[in-house]
Amino acid sequence: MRLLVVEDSTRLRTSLQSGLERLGFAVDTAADGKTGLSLAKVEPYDAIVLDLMLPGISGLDILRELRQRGKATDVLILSARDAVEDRVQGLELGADDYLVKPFAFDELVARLRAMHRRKHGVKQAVITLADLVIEPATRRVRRGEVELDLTAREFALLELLALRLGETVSRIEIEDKLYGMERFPNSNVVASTISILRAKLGDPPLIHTRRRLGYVLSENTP
Amino acid sequence: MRSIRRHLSHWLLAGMAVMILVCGIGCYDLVRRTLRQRFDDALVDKARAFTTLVEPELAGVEFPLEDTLARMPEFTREEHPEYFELWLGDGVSLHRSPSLRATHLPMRFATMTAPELWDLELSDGRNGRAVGIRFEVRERVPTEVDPAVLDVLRTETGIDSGGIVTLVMARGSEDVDRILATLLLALGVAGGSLLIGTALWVRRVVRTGCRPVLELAQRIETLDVESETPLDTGAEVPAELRAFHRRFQQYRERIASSFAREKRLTSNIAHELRTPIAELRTITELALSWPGDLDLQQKSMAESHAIALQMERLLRTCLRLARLQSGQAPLESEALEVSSLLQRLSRRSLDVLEEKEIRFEAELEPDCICQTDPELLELVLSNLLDNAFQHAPRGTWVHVLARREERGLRIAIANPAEDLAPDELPRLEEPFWHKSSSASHDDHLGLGLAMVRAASRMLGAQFQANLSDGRFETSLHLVNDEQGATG
Repeated sequence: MRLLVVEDSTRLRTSLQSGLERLGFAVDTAADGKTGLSLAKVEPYDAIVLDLMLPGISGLDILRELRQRGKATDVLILSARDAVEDRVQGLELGADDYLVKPFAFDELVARLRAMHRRKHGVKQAVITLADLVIEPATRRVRRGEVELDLTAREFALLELLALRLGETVSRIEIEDKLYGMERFPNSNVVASTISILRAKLGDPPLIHTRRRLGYVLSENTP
Repeated sequence: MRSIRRHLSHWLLAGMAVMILVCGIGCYDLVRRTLRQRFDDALVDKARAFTTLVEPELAGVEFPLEDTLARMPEFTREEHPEYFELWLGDGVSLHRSPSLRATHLPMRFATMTAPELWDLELSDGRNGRAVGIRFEVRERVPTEVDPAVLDVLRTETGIDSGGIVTLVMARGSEDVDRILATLLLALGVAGGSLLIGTALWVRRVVRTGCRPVLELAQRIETLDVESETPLDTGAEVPAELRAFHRRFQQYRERIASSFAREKRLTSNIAHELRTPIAELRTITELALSWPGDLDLQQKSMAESHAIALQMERLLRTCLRLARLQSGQAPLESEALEVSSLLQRLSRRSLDVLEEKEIRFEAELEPDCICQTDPELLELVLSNLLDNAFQHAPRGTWVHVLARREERGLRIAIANPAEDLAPDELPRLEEPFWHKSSSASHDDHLGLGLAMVRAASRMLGAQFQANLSDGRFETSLHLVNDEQGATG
């Protein structure tokens, strides 16, 4: 999942980036409204964590402009303003969620994941495919009775494919979602991660390659 | 509770009632005296005339009083008669009017020129008035009367030449009494009507006159104390209430402004605390989530410590501001050279000046010495300089002035502030106010100018902040004391 964190507090911004990347999110950051808006308009983020009280352009102005431009990116407002009218205003302007500071980091993560599941129409907390069981909340994966040990990046990749069950996800999109603005001149990083993941998932194979198109998670070969 | 309306009404009415009563009594008394006087005058004149009529008979040969009485039917008639009685000097009743029948009049008298008058009850029960005159009968001997006959008459009448006679004449005063009664009734009716009319009129006038006060009181009574809308008085405010109305509005605005500032202060304090607490929470939760990551642990500890120090600084600054505002901070007094102090404080921000390419312009007169609390003055000047350096746009200037003036020492610090709006000027001194809505303000708590204001007050200095043509200037006037020192 690729995130943009727009937050002017340096400590909070760097802490959020650090914590979210450890959980497998690809995180870009912006310290002011102007930079945040520029990034949000151009880059394909899965979600934006948006502070309201920013230097320059405010968070609400950023949100308003994104929605006016037809950008449907999920937005979670993170703000010290806790009044009902502030929350209502944010949600009415098009935010998908609102979290008041100070907040629990785990709650932020859970809300981001919930937004992501909603976006893909996945209601259940557990994704199953044949004997593969994926629990995004706890980051646990089981194949049959065997618990699989995946890294954060591997889990993020598997989750991305699982949320798009049966759909082909391109390599470029995987790079975007998993690595953000980090760009690798060697385009094998995705193939390499796919290969490791396939090995861990075992047989029968569930991740299939569609030449020149991408990868798909499916019980049957496409 | 005292009521203006009731007070006015009662006293106006009482005053009118007293005046009406006094006028009525005065009028009645005047008429009564006049009528009485006329009555008495008429009675006296009649009595005197009667003495003139009867004197010849008394002094002369014949005593045909009956002839005289025949010409005076008032002494003989049955209805409302008049009365008279004559006495000789020794008190022997000489003659009585037929109207007296068997009764007598009381014998009281005075001189002809000043007769005695008194009230009495007449024999028929009426109220009356009597006059008593003592007069001397002078001998007039007609030439044709035989002196011997005259002697017999004198013997018979008892009147000797030069004899004293007393006359009392009385008449009923019912006419006067009736007039006076009618007058009294008329005055009573008129007075009562006047009083009732006055009462109604006073009530109306007082009510109308007090209406603006009552309306104002009612509007104030129903005013929402939480509302900031101005007091609507409806109609034009009377001249006597204008000062009150104006002051009331001013105080109300001031109170509303204070409440708004208080709300903002509470909100601002909470807001200032939220950000460091949110940072602390996130940092510590991440550290707890990855306990095995030593690098993360160390970094989290360092950040947490920095946040704790930041919050401590916030707390100390708030406490200091509170002490300054309450005037509790102790004051020292030392001679201080202000220009040197300004130069020293400016040097501390050289890196900021260089980084922002700000031109530092100083007009510092030498020997600007003042007697003051050095710590407080340094607090004031360092805050003002820091603000100027921080808010002066890149590539512009900061101007500092220190000079002696007639009234004392003047210090002024100015910088360009194109983005500061005039309506923001009053807010600058509000604790925690920031121009930017951003939550993080690096090291700036937004308490600087609030502390400057409080410290200036303690120093007895006049602090001003002005904005003109994009130039923001703060100035401090350290006023001369009696000995010529400044503090």
